[in-house]
Amino acid sequence: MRIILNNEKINLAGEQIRLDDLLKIHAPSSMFISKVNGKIVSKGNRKQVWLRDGDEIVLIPVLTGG
Amino acid sequence: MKIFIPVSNIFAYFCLKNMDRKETEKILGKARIAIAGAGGLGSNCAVSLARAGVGFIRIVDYDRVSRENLNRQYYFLDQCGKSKVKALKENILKINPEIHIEAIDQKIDASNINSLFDGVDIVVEALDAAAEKQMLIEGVLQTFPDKPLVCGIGLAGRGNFEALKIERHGSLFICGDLQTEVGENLFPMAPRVAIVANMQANLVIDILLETIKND
Repeated sequence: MRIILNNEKINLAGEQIRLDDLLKIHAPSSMFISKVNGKIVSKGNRKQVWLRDGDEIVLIPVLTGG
Repeated sequence: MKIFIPVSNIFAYFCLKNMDRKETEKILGKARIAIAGAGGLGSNCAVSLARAGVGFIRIVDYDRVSRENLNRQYYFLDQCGKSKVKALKENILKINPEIHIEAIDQKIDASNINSLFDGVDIVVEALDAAAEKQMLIEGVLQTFPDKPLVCGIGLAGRGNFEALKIERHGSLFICGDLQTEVGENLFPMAPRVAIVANMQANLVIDILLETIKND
């Protein structure tokens, strides 16, 4: 299956992957906002979200400072 | 004929072209903005919005003013020890005594996002710690999915102006470089913090005046 992460195509084996597992491998930083197909997925719900072929994920880094 | 678009419909229709000063003042005067955090981003953003003529600003923070804040935050030496939201209210009212400032001395958590950010047109995220920022952003986007949320992310250090930008993801707007994080070797300095705070204020005004439309 192919997933789009921050506009980059990622090829993965299998038919689905948990969002939480994908982020453990591909997350750019420890804190970020995740959007799956345009919808916000909160940190606590990432284990319940399964990604399938064609899903689009956007990760927005959240950095200390303000 | 003058056209007035209620602030509640800010994303609904079309760009106002050739808007005159009175129309601008009317729209900004009716606007209701909430700012989460009264530190470097929040205090400077609030002052700019007040100077621009925004009629109502709700400021939420639980912190006290300290000497370490004075290198970038809109406070004065004689305000050290005071509640930040009360001190900021004093400072803004000295600039514009007609503005309505709601100073809420409270820590923001997932359970009070609904009550703290209800009844405003736009929320400005101006918190410090990444975990708190994440909690607020997720909470506001889930509780108020259509409400514009203007965040400041990536403002540490100095220089590198060209890296500062605005990113949009639906109702989520981000000002900053999305790269630099405040830490031991990269601390926040007044110019860059104030630039990002003013980018946030500028964006709020743009949204209110409908120069930015909904997708």
